[in-house]
Amino acid sequence: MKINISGMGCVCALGADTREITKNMYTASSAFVLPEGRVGSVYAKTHPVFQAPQKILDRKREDESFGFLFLRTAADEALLQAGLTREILQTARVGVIAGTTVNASFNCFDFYKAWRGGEQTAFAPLLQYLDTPLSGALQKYYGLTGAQLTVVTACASGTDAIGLGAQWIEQDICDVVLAGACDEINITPYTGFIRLMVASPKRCAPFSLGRAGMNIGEGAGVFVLESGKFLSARNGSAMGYILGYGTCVDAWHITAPDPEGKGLIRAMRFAMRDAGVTPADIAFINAHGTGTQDNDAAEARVFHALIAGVPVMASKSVTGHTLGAAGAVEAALCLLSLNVRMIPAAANFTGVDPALNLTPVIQNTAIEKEIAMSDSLAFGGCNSVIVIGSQRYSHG
Amino acid sequence: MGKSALYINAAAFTADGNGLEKYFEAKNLRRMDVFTKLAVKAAARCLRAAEMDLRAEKNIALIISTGYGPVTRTCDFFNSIIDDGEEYARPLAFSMTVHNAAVASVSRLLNIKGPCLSVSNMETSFQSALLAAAAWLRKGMADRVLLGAVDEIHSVAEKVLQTHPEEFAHIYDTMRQAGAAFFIVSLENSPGAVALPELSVHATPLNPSADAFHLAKHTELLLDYDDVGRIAADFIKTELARTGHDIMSVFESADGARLLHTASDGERARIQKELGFLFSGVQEEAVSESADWTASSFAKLKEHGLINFFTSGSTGEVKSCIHTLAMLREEGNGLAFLFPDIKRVISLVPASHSYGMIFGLIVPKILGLPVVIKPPIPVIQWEDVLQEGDLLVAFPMFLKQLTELNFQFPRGVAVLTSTAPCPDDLIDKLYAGGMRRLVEIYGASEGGAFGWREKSGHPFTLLPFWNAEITGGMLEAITRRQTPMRVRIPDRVEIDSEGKFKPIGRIDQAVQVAGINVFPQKVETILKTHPAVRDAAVRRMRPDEGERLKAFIVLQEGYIEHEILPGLRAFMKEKLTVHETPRRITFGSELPVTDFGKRRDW
Repeated sequence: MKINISGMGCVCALGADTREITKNMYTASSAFVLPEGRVGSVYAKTHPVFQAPQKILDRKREDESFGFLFLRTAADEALLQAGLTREILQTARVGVIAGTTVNASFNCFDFYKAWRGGEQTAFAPLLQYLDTPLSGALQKYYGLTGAQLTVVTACASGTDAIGLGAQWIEQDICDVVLAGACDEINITPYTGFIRLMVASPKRCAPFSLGRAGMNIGEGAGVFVLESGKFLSARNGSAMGYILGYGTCVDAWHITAPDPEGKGLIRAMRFAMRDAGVTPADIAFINAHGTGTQDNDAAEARVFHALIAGVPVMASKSVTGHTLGAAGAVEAALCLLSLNVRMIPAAANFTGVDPALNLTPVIQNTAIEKEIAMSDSLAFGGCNSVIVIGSQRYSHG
Repeated sequence: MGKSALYINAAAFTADGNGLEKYFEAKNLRRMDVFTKLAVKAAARCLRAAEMDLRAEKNIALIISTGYGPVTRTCDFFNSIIDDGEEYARPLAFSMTVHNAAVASVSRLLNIKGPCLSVSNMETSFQSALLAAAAWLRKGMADRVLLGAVDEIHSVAEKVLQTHPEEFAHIYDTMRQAGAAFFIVSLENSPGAVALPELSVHATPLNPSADAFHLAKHTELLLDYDDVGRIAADFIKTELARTGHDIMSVFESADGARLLHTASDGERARIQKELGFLFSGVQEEAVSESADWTASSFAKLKEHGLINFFTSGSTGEVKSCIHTLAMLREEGNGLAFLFPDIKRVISLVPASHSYGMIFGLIVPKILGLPVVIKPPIPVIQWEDVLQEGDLLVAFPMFLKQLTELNFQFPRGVAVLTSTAPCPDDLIDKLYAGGMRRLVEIYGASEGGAFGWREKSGHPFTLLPFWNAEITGGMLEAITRRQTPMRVRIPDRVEIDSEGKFKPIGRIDQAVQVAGINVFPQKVETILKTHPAVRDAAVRRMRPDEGERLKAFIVLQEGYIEHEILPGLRAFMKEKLTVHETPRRITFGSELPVTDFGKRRDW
């Protein structure tokens, strides 16, 4: 397939929009801070997170979550880039697909604690959680009424959201799809990953020898996907393309990936077949690369087996693991890198792990090819992969 | 929602996650929470219904929708942070808090290795999952999708709802239900598949997966998996649609009887098995409906101190039958002596019916007995349900079906029957089938239980909480000893000096035909003397039908309706007056009766 990307927006620790992010990703400048004030946790003094820029956090309205704030901020940027106004959107069949983990879960810990303790507490958090599913909230925000869907395939949600959005365009379900994902720092995953012993108090070091786990991050990425017919009718232009999508489950374990990465291999093969590309066409792969022992080992094994020699971008070293948003944030970083023609260096790499025998890209590296691949691995053994073409990509 | 229609090849619904050991090794089920168990059980049942072997099936995708996700596990993790402190919070509880937990376990236990997705969109979650399934199928990512919806009752919302209902007024929903519904969907209209119907909107934020549950429960009935099953399923589909999901009527109808009772032994065993399977989804629904009725009847009783058991009686007209709590207590206390050695009550009758209220609720409460509600489906494995010391609160139609299926009672099971007369031959057959003891209650919604008997051919004994009003050896009326209640006996009943009584016929009031009094019962008696007539019912036409009598006639075996009609007309002309002669004759294989075996209009 070849689905137009006419706009893109992103918020993460690297910056408040794609311009800022492009500047900061080549210098590894991102906000790695202790989340005191954000999560009421003893770990907030020991385990830093990759936090969204303060100027974005300051914009939060009382009746919205941080996650939704990131999502609408990224969506506003994406629509602005695409040149799509609310008026134009009213003339199109517009779908909304949003991925998340925290923002579709019963995440009201403070409410729960107060309520369980018998305190007089307002029920607003509970009602808000019941009333507004994420994609529905974004739809409402733009006054839209078409198809909508919230993906909750844990950390593969963002990749799935974009892949499904591309299929909705390909199958003529919609003229325009807003596809993306968001997540925010929240006590449940923050404490949970620390207690699972897979979160590091230091900056994460994907694929490195002695890597000590992930850092939690937050943010959102949103793409405007558009049919060729609608795009040309309004004289719009594409800034890139979604070329392929594949997903497959390991059927292995709730938290650990299949060590042989069988599900990931099937997903990658499907995505490459969908895109009509071979490993030789691929400029780089944005790895899931969380910096945990198991994840990086499984991925390295698959990369060697299926796409040996393809450079590996490990962006979680500068964004943290933005959970449900990761696939969307990283797809944005992929397209930015493709269009700038340079892979940003992974930070914090401390040396090659002989068990992995894999060195990610650790210097900003120029590229010639026009295609990138991005994979996401999730709790539950779900593996999702998308293939992205640059603005210059002209095949198909 | 797209260009090509989706077809459902199999469906399954479950309201509980119990019994997974039947499908999986225990070691695979350890630490599994309710959310995941629900999903795994419904998915396994759905694959079984589709007869799919996943070792051979490569091209299947899995999509699961949920409004809340594993909310109990999320609260467990919260509790563990609050109670134990973050440093000791349980990591395993955390790993099961993600919505994707159901996909993880279903794919692992059922060996699905294709594309997988979790979606959540509160009350439109299932619709979202359908959109995703359609996209994947059209894309060729899979030939079929195992598509599920799973939700628990949100424990926190539920508790807040109970204490602060006003907070939820805008989304209030009485049908809150935990469950899982799974479907096999494809783009292919294969034999036995049904097209996905338009979803009826049942879902709310308090019952987010209701549309999927509703669809699965009803689709399950329409789907089958071999020819015998197809006949049974078509029949059930037609019958349930006709009767508004009244389970017993499926077995009461003539077609049902033919299906079950004219087949060879081997065929019958298969049909029974298929029916049992087809009904497995309805069972849970029937139990939950019955439990709801019971709960709401009990709540009304507690709130108002009285309850109105509406009855349609034999006339078809709804009548009020108001019982106060004191009346029910008097009746319950007066009946308790009948059940000295019962350990558990299995009730097939909801408490919205006076019989169900007394024997499924009041008497067990007085005796401190546990009650299990079961649907009146004869084909389920009753030998696994019943155990020594049980009292099965049933009714003749159900018991008749059980005996016709040659059911053998496990040791030590007593049976209670009421709502309609239990024929002597049925009582004998039940005893022959190993039933320990039968108690037949003679009564009416107007007054509750009047008398009881245990053996065929025996008279009834008036229950001790009644005083009898006797005129000329006939029981005219009875009066409660403690509470103000007087009931005219609806039948003609002979009674002796010891209070033993025998109903000998209904009191059917004379009706006027063209200004002349006629007696339908007399006409029935005369019609039944014709050699071709096995049974007959006579009543006055409804106003929309005319001003005369009408007859419903069941012929003896070997007689053909259109052949016997001229002779029958001649017979009636000879034996009946003009006013007594039924103007319209309807033939059928059984007299029309209500769900509880009482006669009804046709």
